[in-house]
Amino acid sequence: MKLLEQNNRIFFRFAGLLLLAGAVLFYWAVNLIIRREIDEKLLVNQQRTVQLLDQGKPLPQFAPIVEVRVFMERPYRPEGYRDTMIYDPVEKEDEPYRQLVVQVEVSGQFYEITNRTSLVESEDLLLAIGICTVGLALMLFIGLIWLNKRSARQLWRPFHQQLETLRRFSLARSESLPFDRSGIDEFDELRAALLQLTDKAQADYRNLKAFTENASHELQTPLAIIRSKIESLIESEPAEEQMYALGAIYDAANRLSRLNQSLLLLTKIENRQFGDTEPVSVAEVIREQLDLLAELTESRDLRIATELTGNLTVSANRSLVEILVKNLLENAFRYSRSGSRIIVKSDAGILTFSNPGTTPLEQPDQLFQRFQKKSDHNASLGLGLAIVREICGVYGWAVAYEFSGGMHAFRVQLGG
Amino acid sequence: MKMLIVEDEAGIRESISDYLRREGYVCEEAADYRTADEKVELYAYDLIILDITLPDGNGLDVLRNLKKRSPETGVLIVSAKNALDDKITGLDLGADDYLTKPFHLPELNARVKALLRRRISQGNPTIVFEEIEIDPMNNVIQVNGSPVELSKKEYDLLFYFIINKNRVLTKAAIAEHLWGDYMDLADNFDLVYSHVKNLRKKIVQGGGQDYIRTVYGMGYKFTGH
Repeated sequence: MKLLEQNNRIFFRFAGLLLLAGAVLFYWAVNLIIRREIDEKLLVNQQRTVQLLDQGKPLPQFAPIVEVRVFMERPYRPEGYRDTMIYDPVEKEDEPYRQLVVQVEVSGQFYEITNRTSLVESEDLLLAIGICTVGLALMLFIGLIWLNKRSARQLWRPFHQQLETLRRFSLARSESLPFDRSGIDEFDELRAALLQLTDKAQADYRNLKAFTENASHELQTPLAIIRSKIESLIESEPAEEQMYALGAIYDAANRLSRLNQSLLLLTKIENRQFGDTEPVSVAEVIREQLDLLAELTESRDLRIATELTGNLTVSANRSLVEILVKNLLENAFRYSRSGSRIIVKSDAGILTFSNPGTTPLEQPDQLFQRFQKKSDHNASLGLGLAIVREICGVYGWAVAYEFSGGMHAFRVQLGG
Repeated sequence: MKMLIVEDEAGIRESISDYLRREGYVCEEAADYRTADEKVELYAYDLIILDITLPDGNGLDVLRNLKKRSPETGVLIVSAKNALDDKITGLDLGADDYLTKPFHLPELNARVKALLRRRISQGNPTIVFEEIEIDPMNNVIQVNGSPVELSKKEYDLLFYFIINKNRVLTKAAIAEHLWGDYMDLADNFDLVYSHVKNLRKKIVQGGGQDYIRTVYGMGYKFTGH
């Protein structure tokens, strides 16, 4: 629900109650005043009637407004004000009346004087008041809805602008978000808080990236020293047991070194430190990489079929394209059984690397995450596909995995 | 043969010197730009192994000064991976070869020897080890005077072994030398082992002796008896 709607709802609920209470109060007050006026008028009329009696003038008879009845002795009937219904022969229905009954004694005779006045007019008045109240309420509501909508559009403009700016926020970008000042305190406060938050997030992200890069960089030299010292040590060919231990250290150092280099590469790609783009023929890169791999494929009795059609020239950094192709080839190679056939295909700017398999890979969305690897391939670092995705990210290419017709396929859509 | 090793990391510098001294070279060391520039000015070297990133300057400047004074000195540049610009500038300035860090010492040794061979022994490029003879110009191997058919990788492997004779070659160093960026794959599928096996077989079948010795848990050593 929109804030405006919520606000309106609260307002209408309150205004409705208020108007209702007001109408009741108004009705009650007007009713009271009218009654009092009527009672006063009845009293005056009654006194006039008594005066007429005193002066011995003929008795006024004008039913139902004035009725005078004569009694020989005091009648024991109720006196005072009362509401009553009297049949009106003109309108042919009962109509409400207010009446005042008194008994007076004049010259030894008893008179019962009844003065009445019609209440129809005052009922009409009340009805008019009711209609006016409702009309006023309707006008108020409609007017307020319109006014709210109009002012909300104006008032919330800075907010929507901020929201739009925030949507374009990227951690990787270094400049601050271009929030405009609105001149409204609340939104300016929000702007200040958002600026602080986003600047801090960007700074933290930059620091983290710098840390990763520095850490990888600083690790390189000690690793190189470990490696070279082991290579020197083994020259003296120590006893078998020590040699075995040295071998294990050496393998671990090598693995760590490769891992470190991959992480450094990832960081460099993330930091867009491969600037130079040039027209690169992907088909040519594929052929070169296949040449490098040829002897390896032969030794594992793998066959690689290429179907390269269409224009495959992209504007990119050559090293990155090479790494992309190498990693995807390596991936297909690693997970193929010997004797099977790997297909490298290109069609309409879509590059596909497929290799036969039996079942689709589980959790395909996690394939491109770092350190995601099949546990039975310990030699793999689990960074190859993450690097592929990162390279695709640089150039806005889409990369996806799918399984169809007994083939694992990695597709790269070249060109954004 | 006199060499200068310019490298700011003491651990790496010592390892390089040790390794090359055992090959019979005279090695001097420089840990920073100033020392390197001084030494280059004062002494003559056959080869300089030059790290590009130095704490007090750029190794490329050492190269510039060197090329002005003694252009006949061989230069092997050593630099961090992916520093492609350094590589191109270095080669433009007259460096002979380029090796990316981290490298295996036998790889450095092979590059050094290839470089010196190109620069100095231009007359007779054949490499001889006992009854095995390699003609690097034509990629031909002869055992006891008769040619032996080797695949490209087997040839590279034998060459690498002979260049680094009497040294232990780890499987990782061999894999990197033969397969470069695809060494991981080669390593995974134990291709070094099968290539060494095939090479042994072919040399023995060609009438040669088996000089390749397995170093337990590490790799191989090519050594005379």
